[in-house]
Amino acid sequence: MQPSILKVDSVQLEFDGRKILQDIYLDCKQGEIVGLLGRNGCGKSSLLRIIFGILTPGFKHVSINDQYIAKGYHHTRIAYLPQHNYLPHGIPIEKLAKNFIDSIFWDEFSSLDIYLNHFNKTVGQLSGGELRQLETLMIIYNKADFILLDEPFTHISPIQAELFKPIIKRCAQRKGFIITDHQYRNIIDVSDRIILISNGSTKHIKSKDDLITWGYVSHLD
Amino acid sequence: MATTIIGRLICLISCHNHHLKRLGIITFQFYKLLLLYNIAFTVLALFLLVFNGAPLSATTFVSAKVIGFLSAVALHNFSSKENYFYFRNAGYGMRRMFISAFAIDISVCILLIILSKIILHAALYFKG
Repeated sequence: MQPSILKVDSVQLEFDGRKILQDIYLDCKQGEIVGLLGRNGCGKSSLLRIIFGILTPGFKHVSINDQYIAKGYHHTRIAYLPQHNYLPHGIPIEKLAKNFIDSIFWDEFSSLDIYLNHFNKTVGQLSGGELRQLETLMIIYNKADFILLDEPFTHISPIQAELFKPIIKRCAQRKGFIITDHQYRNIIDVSDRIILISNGSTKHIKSKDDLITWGYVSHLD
Repeated sequence: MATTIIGRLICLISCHNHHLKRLGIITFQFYKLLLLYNIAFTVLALFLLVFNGAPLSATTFVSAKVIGFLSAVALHNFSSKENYFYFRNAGYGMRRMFISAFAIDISVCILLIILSKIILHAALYFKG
């Protein structure tokens, strides 16, 4: 079966007359990890929210296999990890996960320590770090064809970030990933290609030096 | 050819059943989040309606139910909006969740009214 392609084009977003996004084009195939970088307030999270379908811009064209998608989340086409916690309280983790996780990955997900140690607990019984780890993994293993991760490496320890990377790469054999985070080294490590948002438009990064050219970093180690 | 068509039909029905079962489970999870608010606001609405002269009838009960449900949704929307991402990531929009949860709520309400009528009727019958 041919891999699906998610395309995002001509997004125009303004806040209080200030143009945030104006010349946007990005695509992502199933089997690919696209890293999205940009300075604070450049519109990375807004772009992910527009793709997911919960933020309405002035104009957008989001499609999967050239079919227009109004709400990315309908029919579990796209899943999105927000920066905040999202799991509801009072329902055991096991019940939340069972209808959420891709059946192909269930055995792998349910054998993770974080799940085995907490599957019978509710959200309120987990620490902030444990909850964030679980929520991130539940999105990575979600049924959706495309996964959007907004700051998956923030609020977790470096060792946990290292644990996520092979999992993302494994799941990316079947899904498309768009990942954004300020920890750009982690993004460069895990991504197949990098897109930078600068001055409201997308710049397709061909080499690490482009990040210096576009003013995202002053130097690279 | 016929076998393929029948096979596809069985697959379609099975997928549809799986989808409905999943929607049911997710809707009940959403309904459970509203339940405490829902009961509290419904009881309060019922009390206020009766206190203001409305007769203790099925119409009053259903009105209290609708007010209670809408108030519960409003409070949940105000206090726990971030939970909506769970339902969206499960593939369901919030409008669908609200409508499905309301359908469950009103069904439970009608069932309770019918049950109470039967119990009242039975009590009167046995009392003679």
